[in-house]
Amino acid sequence: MSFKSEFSKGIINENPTFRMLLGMCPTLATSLAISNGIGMGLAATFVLVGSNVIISALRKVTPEKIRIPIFVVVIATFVTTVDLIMAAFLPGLHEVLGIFIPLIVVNCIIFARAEAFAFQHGIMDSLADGLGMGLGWTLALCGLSAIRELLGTGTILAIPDFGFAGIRIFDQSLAAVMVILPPGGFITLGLLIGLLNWVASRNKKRAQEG
Amino acid sequence: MREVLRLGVVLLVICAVAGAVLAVVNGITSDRIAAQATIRLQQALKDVLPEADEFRDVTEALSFVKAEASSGGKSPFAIVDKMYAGYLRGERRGFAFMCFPAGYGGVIETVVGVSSSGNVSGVSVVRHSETPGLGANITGGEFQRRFVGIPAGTEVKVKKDGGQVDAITGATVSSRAVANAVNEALRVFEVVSDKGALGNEL
Amino acid sequence: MGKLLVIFFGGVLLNNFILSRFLGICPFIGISQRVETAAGMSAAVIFVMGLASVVTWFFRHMILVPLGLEYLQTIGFILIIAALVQLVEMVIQKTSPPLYQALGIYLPLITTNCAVLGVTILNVSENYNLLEAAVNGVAGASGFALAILLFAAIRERMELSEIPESLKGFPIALITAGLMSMAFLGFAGFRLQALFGVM
Repeated sequence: MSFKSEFSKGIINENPTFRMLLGMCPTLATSLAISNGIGMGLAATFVLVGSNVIISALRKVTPEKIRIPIFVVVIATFVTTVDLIMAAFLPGLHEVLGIFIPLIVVNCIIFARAEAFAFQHGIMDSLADGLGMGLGWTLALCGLSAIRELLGTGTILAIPDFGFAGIRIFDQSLAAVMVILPPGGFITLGLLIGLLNWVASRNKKRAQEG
Repeated sequence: MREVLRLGVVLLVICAVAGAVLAVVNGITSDRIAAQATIRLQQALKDVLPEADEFRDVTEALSFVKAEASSGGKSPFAIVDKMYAGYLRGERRGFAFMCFPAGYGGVIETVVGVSSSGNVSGVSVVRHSETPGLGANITGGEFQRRFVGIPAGTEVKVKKDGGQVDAITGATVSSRAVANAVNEALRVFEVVSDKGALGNEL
Repeated sequence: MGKLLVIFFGGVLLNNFILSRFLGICPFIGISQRVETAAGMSAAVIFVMGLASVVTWFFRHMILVPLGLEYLQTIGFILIIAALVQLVEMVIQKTSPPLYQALGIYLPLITTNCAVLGVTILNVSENYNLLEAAVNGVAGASGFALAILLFAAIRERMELSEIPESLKGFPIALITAGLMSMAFLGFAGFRLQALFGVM
């Protein structure tokens, strides 16, 4: 497979959220505003790319038996790096994402890519895979965040870190606060995946008929 | 046996490298992370007591007030943690109090400013873990301004509890916590300003 | 005592790990088809989370803080949890084969359960003492157990219902979890601090 196809598979066909259903905890917990989605997504992408590259580079010298602890150490190192850098330069966002930054360590997407891909593929392929999966996750997170932010608060694109209150689309009193509360997270994601399933099956049917 | 040794060495080397990398990252970021907290605190103090431009930590006086007021195993003002005196060109313009009231999702780090005239001059929420979209609105200026001007000697409560402050819709617990912080801060202020001598020492 | 009760009931009902904190969603959805398996997983999680809370507390206060190595917290905690899970697995295998039969297959899955790492980090950020940390660990896991058992019972029933084709499986599970989460929001009305006389 080429660099390009390794990259693009993560965005659509094997999208980690909508297709492979991985990394649900941070997806649900941090998808409150687009700015959070971008921050969380990019933090995880950095970890994913870094750990994929290092694990791929070390795959020849990594003994099969202790590969899991080694993955954990590599991933945790990248996570701590992101954690410290965000605390230093983006304190507001760091505060909002809170516990879910260190929890990137146990994010199944990263672990799954290390085990299923990086450990068996070359450095460039692993880099492409990490970038694609990371961006695919970021996009999914942003999509979900956009829906929840808009329906839940009536504004969009709020960036509290820069004191930007966002663009108001409709009045606060019309907003369904439930959407940004925990139940809204579950239900919105459930309906969104259902919708994508429906679109996919309809397209398949059309293709068969055509 | 040799196999185990080899695995151990590989793991050890990887851990050592990881540790070294993190030590470097920590070295680069630690000063800035520590500075962030100070910057935020200074900003919050200025926000709640805009008349002053210089702040001194006078938590010692607070401990004195607490010790004096405690009786029979009760420790009043427990949620008031720190006290700052604000000055403008050497003249004291009021006090700011760092309070930790319990909110819905945990403690809410609230700074309350009281000007020398004895009115609340500002409220700022530095850190909290309230529900986004509901309780998290306590960080909004619109809510915080509802407290400004309340004089010392008043019992500060949300309207639902028979007080004077409108709570945020759907976030009574969070609003109540902030009201509680303001109330306690005002009470400490009263004690401090009653004790003329103590006030002069500061 | 009051504070411990607040932590416990807060963890089980108000800030339920799954339904309001979003920790441990993967096993919640993945291992909830049957009540029996959900119960096995719950037992294993309660045990490991309580133990991990205690061990990481000692690790932090005896090693990291005195040496000024707080930045190694994430990496240290996850390694401790992984080692702990391995150890528990070996001990149970040796001492109680029936228990191992029941819990064995769930134990390795716990390492990547974010509720476990999550609770140890929460213990640090809430500045809990040893006892509070232990209670928080058990409470968080009990909340997990409560949610997953209720959810498994609902899912067993759901197998008999007609569900729109595109919602089958994961989507309907998420929507059901959302409804449960909504029900749990009702507990927000409890004023635990007042109830147990802590302020």
